[in-house]
Amino acid sequence: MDGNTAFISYVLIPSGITDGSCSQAVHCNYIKKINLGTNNPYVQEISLNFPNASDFKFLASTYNTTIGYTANRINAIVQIVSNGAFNSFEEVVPDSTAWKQVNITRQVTGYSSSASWVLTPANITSVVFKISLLQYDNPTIFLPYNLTYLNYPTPSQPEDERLAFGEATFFFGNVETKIMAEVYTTDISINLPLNEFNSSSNLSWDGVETVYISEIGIYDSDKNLVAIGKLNDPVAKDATIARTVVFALDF
Amino acid sequence: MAFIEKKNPVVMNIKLTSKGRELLSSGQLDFKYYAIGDSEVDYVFNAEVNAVDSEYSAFDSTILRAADKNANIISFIPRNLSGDPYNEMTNVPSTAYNVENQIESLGFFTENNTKYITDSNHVKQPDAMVFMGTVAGGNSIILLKNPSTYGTSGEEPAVGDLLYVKWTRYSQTTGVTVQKNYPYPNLFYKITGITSGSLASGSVTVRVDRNIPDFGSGLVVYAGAMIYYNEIAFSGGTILSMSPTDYLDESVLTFLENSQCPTIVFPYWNMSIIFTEEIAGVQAGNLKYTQFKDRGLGGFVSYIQNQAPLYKKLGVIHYTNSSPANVYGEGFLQDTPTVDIPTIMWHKSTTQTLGTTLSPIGGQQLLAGLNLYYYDLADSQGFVVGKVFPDLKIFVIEDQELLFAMSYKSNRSWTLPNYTAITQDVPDVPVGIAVTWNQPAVCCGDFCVVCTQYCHSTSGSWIPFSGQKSLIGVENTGYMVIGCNISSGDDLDICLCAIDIPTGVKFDNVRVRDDEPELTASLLNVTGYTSTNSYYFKSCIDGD
Repeated sequence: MDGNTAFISYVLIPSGITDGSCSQAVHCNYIKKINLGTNNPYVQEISLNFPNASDFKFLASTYNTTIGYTANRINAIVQIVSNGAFNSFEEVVPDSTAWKQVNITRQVTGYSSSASWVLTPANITSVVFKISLLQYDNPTIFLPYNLTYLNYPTPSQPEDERLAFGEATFFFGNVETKIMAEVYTTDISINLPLNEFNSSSNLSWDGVETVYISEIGIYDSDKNLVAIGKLNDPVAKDATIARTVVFALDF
Repeated sequence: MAFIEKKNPVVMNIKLTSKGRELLSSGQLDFKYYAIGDSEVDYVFNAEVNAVDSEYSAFDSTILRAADKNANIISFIPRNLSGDPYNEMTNVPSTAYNVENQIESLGFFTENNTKYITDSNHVKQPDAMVFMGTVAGGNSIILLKNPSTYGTSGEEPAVGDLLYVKWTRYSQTTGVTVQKNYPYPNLFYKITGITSGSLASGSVTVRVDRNIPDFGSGLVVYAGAMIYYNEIAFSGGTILSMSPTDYLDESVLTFLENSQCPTIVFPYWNMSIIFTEEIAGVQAGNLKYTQFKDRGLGGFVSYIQNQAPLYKKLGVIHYTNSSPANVYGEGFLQDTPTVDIPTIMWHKSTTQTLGTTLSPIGGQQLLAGLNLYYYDLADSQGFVVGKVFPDLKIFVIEDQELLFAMSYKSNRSWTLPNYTAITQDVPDVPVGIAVTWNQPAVCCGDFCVVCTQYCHSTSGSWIPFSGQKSLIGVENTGYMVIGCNISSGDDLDICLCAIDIPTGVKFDNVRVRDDEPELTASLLNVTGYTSTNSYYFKSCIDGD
């Protein structure tokens, strides 16, 4: 397949802000894939913009914020991939080791190099960032992008002494739900009329008294006991009591 | 063996016997007869008791639970006095019905997710804190004993534990309240080393997996910190009572499966963030996704997307543990499950407060290949972030940003907004029109141009620009000037001249990057020049 594909995202960086900040966090994981076609990729440019200032409601507007997070630099992270090794655009994937980052902060309206200047919801959404690929191969402009700032681990580090993505264990939140069971039952209804099931083969039965049902067995055609049910309280049965027994065997 | 617990109303304890299960496994189970028995009733004994206690009857007898290998019924209540105890069943109908139950919220938060749970089933050591005046970057952190609350746990931090810090600048974040109105980063770190001290003695210095914030030394506030086991060794102290699922009335006896599994309930859910592609920025020497602990779940990513994965990274919230307690039964009831993430800063929230709640939205949908129903999982505004599969009892997070914000390693508890990105070719010199450019020149004399280059589409790389160039029919052209010997921040005038423009061709839209997004004159004023940057020009010749 001819041509090139660009992958792009961005990362917000706090660097030397007055009164300090959190350390750099990972890049945005909404990664866009753009077909550059067969034209020379180096004379193309990518326009990037944030359409909604309210999406940055947690980006602090002042360096000494009481809430949210702070950043004073935005870098685009970019990778151009030659389509030559792929059969279709869908197959094209970036190489995790070949990402580059370029500082686009100065395009922000009102940019200042002051240590107290920070990116704000208003100024970061005030501009359509232009990322020209003209200098993609210039390593002083498009710097290599890696996860060193996260002290990303190596395989040789013992598991207890490292933390990587994909090593989360518990969910730090709550789950609440109703549950449902779809119960399939074999329902057998047996009528115990007034004049039936009033006697017992129990050796202690005196032949006249009320009998008490304590168990019900289900048998197959060979009279194997295949299911057994027991009552927590034996139930009386005599000629004055009619009952219906429902066998509901769950599956 | 155990006796049936006395309950009111009367319930029946029923199960397939071992013989029944054997026949079921071979497809030969059939129900042909039933027999009613009173094997465990001793009428003589009951009469003796009744003689001294007229209230007593066989009804008060305590009966053994039904067992897998149950003893035979030895005394029957036949239809007739001398009749066969085995009564033929002429009809064996099958019916289906739903049983519903409410399950209490399980997780790390309580009181409507406004407070952290700090018992030993959830947290190893809840009573640590950090003096923010000592937070100055690096990967070392001093944990202090919280003198007002310390004591419920004497546990010390250990290598491999997870440290949770509720960073703050102004308001104290010690205590158990989730300070929703003060959204500030709440981050997990892995403890990778113990440097000195102990919490019991007042302070312990630990190393963590990455750099902590640098807030200088001026803050005089304490941030709450808690230590979690990386994998919580649940002690089994929390028991959730299960409700009976049915009942019977006086005239109808219902067989029910109420011989329940052990009811020890794990009090939290698991989360696995599964990667089947590398993360941007991972280098050759870094740990790869194929080496992650959750790699065994890689097949799930494809499976749950019908083996045609759109997403290569998924988060799965699941209730996997070593207890046989069937807490969630056969599945969630339709659209009732909700997921609360109380400490996240979700950029789609309508308010500037911590936390978001994810709920099913819309109707039930069918994942055709798997013949599996699901609901879209969305925030309160209807922004879809994943799916909930009621029958599988799992939540799948697809939103790639939410995944990162939930990850312990991302170093942020906030999500970053989405954006639009398009590409375009820079307008070219119209084919067939010859434009001659002079080499870029500097109007002011206090710096020198050390390099001027141009880019031509047929070469795709930079070519030294010297003297005057006449480019005919160029498709893509760019010019770069690299300056030096100039102080950072100086203003810089550069004159880029185009000459010999054919009649009717307008010199338009020469742009300089890095400092000024767009200028339309040939005289460019570069403000705030820094010698670390290269400044380049890209031509645009409009033939109109």
